[in-house]
Amino acid sequence: GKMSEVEETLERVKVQSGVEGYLIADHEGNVLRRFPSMSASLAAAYAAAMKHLSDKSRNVVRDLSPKNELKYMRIRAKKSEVLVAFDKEFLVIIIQKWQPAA
Amino acid sequence: MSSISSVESTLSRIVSHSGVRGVLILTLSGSCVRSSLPPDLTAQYSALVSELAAKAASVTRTLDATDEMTFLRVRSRQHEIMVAPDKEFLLVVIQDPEQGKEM
Repeated sequence: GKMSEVEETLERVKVQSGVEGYLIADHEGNVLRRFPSMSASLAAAYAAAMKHLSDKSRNVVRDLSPKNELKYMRIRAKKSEVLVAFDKEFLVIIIQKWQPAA
Repeated sequence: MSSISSVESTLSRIVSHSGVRGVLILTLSGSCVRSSLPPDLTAQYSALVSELAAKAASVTRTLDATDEMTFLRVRSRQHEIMVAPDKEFLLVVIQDPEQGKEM
């Protein structure tokens, strides 16, 4: 089903270096699946933060053009990058981390 | 920031890329310094995108107080918005979703 397709994709993604964690959340910010070594509280923190940011993005996109639909967001930072992919039912959140060059 | 003429020539170069619909330079508080869009769209994008960028930057710090957002990309079905923050400004580029196919 849909969830197992998403999980297969994530299995492929997680072996890439730097992937710190991934999680699948519903649109309310509840964690449905998380990369096993990611703590439940960290996953919950990401889910809540990305739900918040997603709601804002969705509003911006729709304010600009009412029929438009959000596909994904990438938030790049000095030590990390978060990808949030939007699905009708889920948010798929992938977190990559690295050490900045000295 | 670079001299006015090099900023202008950079903006012209970006705007002339096929698929680029608009470029804006905003202050961090959302005032528009430069825009290639007409006034009504400029006003809309300035307000909405500066708020979104501020929110994304804040979320980044909430998750890790030692981290700092460097780039934001929001892809929707109709377009892609890219935001690069700087100490004092936001560079915003709006382009067709077909450009830059990789996620």
